[in-house]
Amino acid sequence: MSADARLTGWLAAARAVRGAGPWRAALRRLVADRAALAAALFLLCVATGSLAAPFLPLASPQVMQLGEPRPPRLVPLGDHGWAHRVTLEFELEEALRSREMLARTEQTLVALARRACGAQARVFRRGQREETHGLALVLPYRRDLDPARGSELAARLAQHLAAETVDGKLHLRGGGDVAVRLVGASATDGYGTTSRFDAWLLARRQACFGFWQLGPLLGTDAKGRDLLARLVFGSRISLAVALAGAFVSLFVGVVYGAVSGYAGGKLDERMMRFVDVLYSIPFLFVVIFVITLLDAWQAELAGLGIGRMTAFFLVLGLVTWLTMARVVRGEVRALRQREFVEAARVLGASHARILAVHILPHLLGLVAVYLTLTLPSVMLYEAFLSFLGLGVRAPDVSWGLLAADALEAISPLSITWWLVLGPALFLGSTLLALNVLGDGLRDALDPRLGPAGGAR
Amino acid sequence: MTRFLVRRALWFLLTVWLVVSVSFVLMRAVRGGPFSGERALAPAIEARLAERYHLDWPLWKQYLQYVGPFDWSEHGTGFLGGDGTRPFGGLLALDLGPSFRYRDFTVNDILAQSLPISATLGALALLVALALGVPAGIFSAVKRGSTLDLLVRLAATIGIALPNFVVAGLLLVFFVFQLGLLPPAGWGGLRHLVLPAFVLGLPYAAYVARLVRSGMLEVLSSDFVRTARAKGLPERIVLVRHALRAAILPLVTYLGPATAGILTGSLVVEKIFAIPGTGSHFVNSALNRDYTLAMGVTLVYTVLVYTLNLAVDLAHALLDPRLAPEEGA
Amino acid sequence: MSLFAVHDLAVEFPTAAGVVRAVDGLSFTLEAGETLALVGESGSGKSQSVLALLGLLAAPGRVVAGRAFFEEKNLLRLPERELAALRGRRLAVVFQDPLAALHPLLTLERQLTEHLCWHRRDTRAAARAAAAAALAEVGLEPPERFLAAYPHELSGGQRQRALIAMALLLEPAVLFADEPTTALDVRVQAQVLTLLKELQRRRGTALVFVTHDLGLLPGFADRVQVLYAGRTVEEGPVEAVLARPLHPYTRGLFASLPRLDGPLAFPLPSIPGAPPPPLARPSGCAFHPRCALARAECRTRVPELEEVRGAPRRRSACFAWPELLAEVTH
Repeated sequence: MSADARLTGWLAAARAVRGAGPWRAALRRLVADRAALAAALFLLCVATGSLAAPFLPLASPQVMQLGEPRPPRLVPLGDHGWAHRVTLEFELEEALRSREMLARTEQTLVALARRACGAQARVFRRGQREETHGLALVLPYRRDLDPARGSELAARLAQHLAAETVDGKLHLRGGGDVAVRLVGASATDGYGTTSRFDAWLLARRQACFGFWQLGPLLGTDAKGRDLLARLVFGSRISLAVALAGAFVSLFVGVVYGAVSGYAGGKLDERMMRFVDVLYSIPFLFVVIFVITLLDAWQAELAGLGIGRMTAFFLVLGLVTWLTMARVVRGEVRALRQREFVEAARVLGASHARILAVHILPHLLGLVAVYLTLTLPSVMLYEAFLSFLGLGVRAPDVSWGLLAADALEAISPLSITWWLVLGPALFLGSTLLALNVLGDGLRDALDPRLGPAGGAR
Repeated sequence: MTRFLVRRALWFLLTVWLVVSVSFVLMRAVRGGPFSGERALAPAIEARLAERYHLDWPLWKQYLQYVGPFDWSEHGTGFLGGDGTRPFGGLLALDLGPSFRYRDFTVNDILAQSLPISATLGALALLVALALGVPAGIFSAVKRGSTLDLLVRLAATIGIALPNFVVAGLLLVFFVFQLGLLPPAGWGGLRHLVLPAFVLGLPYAAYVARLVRSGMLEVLSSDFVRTARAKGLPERIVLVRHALRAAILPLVTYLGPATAGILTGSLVVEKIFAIPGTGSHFVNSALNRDYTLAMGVTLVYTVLVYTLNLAVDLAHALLDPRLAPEEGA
Repeated sequence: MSLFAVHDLAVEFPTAAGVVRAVDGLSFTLEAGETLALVGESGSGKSQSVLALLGLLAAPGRVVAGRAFFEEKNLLRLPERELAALRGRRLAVVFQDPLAALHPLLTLERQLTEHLCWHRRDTRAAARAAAAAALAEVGLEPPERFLAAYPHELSGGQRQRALIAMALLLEPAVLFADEPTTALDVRVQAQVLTLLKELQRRRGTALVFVTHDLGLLPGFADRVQVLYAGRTVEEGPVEAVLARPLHPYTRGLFASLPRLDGPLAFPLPSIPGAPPPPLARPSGCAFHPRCALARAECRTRVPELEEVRGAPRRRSACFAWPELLAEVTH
């Protein structure tokens, strides 16, 4: 065989071989690690649940009710008092006794309401057992129906009522008249949803579950608020702050570490020295200190468009970037000395291009691992700070705040253990899952790293 | 060696000075001053307070007063116009200034009172961490794969994941309220210390156990342990003198961040258990805008942690003959 | 009665992918003062056999069959405490990587004296003197300087000498050396081997020398056992086996050694193929896929190690040994 033919043969054979890239192998390892897989799925559920919180059939997290904190009860989905409603009170001139008349009145009023605002209403009776002298029409809450927000629902309904009333008596469907007056309209906003997405989710929930919701599966707190609902809605803030803070931390850390590692020499040394010294400062103190300053500077910051929450997670991110910077710098330093970087330089690539095209992809895995490990620490900081009263504040809810409330509420006289158990479960499981996933990612991306790899 | 120490100390001082200066400017630049958070004060009182805390001075003078080492007030240094009764003051004279909230006390006073308490709590917590963590880690490594190992690993992972106030809550409910074994709060005798020290030290015990376990596992399968066994030495000598000795190094390194973490954790623990330590003072100072106290505590803790880290690095160099201090850390 | 006798040693490693039989029926005898070389490629089971005999197998490996007799005891059935009493004192071992084999944080003095103090109940001073003498014997002079040194302060050759000194301190009857020179460069290699030979001669220690480097055998080892895929394929006195190998594998190995006396052969002959992975060993004779002399029965029957008629101290595990015996070799 001629040399050329042999060469062609070899090239063809080489092309036919399909190697598994490092990402594919890493993914396979990750999937094989069942604990990490379970953790990933769990976190996915948590994230989905948090995002879709208004859709879940939960009780209201903010409507307060009189009463003591109640322990958990295993009550399934049912009609437990929908606290997200618009209520229209009607008064009957004469107490109705006949069941048939009552039914017809109810039907007529429901039809009226539908025509007035397009929503399906439910009717509740007011009065003693056999004598009903009032009816309450309950509609699912909608912002455009909320009288406190200037809704004209009452006026419109009164108009429709007047249109159907003859001689002061409403003509009923199916026959008969009854004298009925609209006496009041009120609304309870149980979920305080502000964004359109949340409103849409709420509407979908009403369509799906109607007035049903879960009972107090995790009990209620001292103000009668359902703990499960508070935990789920609180997760939005806890997770959002954690993610935002972690991304700030990631951004600063990666840029700093990459520049330091790539530059090398004196600049690198000085930058790392700075990091070393910063490392020795106990972070929480700095954070608290900065937050106190933030509070004082609130007005100025608001002028810049930075709300309290934003400033909060900026600070958290700026405090946690050190580890990421160190790790990235180590990796970039090692990569910089590899041959492919030299090759790229020889071919004339600029520093920026090398960083972006050659080095950054190698960092992705590492960054993913440390992101997963930074999230719990930011979350912990937020929980700590909220617990101390310096973080998230009422009326917002976060897991740290719930834990703080719980600990305050506990006393020898009222051992409200469930108030502690709820946040413990949610916080603990999320942090645990993040840690397990982080470890799994680290093992998957480089089995040589980490404690498990070394022992083999 | 001395060069190394001096260099480290200089860098540290430089950074601290930077932090102090920046914070100082930020504090004083706050509109409304440190007293604006409280209920409205009569103008006469406010004026007197401003005078007392030198808030009416130009910024540079306030700064120098704070940093020292000379005292610029009327009772201060002779050549600066004072009468010489208090010649030195400010940070460089180790005076952290007056408290804005506790008006009869200086920060030094408050620290002198509360630091010993926090120090005791911290030391106990560290003890708990080591006393629980090291044996657990060793057992777990030696009996790898057994039920004990699994339990230890599970406990360790949970201990690391749960924040300490949550653990505190759960333990409070169980030990204090249900069983009534320990007092819920306060500071008085050994009984008051048990639960706080345990809560504070638990996450670190978990991490220590993990560290010791992985260190031991790595070392137990190493060649030099095999050589020790090949020499016919009994297993206990192999474990302690050969394996543990080598595996302990990462633990020593960890003591630095662990202490920093214990200091941090003490903030929450002192609040929960109503312990009058420096941590609870710090939190209150943050809530009450007592800037000097907040700054003072931060400085003290920073110096503490930095010194500890330095000591750990030196210890590391001592323990491992392969390292020279210049390369350490 | 031989000093040391092993019969049908078998070692297995259960793994996720199946059970690996690292050593499959190893047998040898060792006389006092004799040097036996165990030769084979990586994965042939030679290191594992040594570890197994001394009870140093790393989990999950375990001995599943065999007997090993030393001083009238079956080592493989001895309780750990008694085995530990023999280790270091009557049976010693020197491992491959001297830097890894020494404890990085203890001085040489510590590492050399501790088993003296343990086995012989010496005082620290007496042990120190003995250790100094041993270091001097292996050529590490002045001994005091080396006693106070840490392993990372020494060169590779010095470390290996220290390990040898450590092993021979208590005058063991048998020394196992698992590739002691592989991590060293050639010149140092020669020094260490010379040292080993000298010490062995002086003290009459038996030596089991594990290696993959055939070039070390002449003039050093008395007998050689060639291992392949966990089994012994040939055994005999070194000179005889070198002169006339009676197994295709041994023949291939020796043929692939470049020789300085004679014309340069190019390309260097090599055995085609590769050693089988431990979990997928061929049926019958493990070498048959790579063997030029393979016959039908090689695929189905495992050749036993049998004595070569006409050469009583030689054994071969090949159906074709009579042909090889009859061949005229160089």
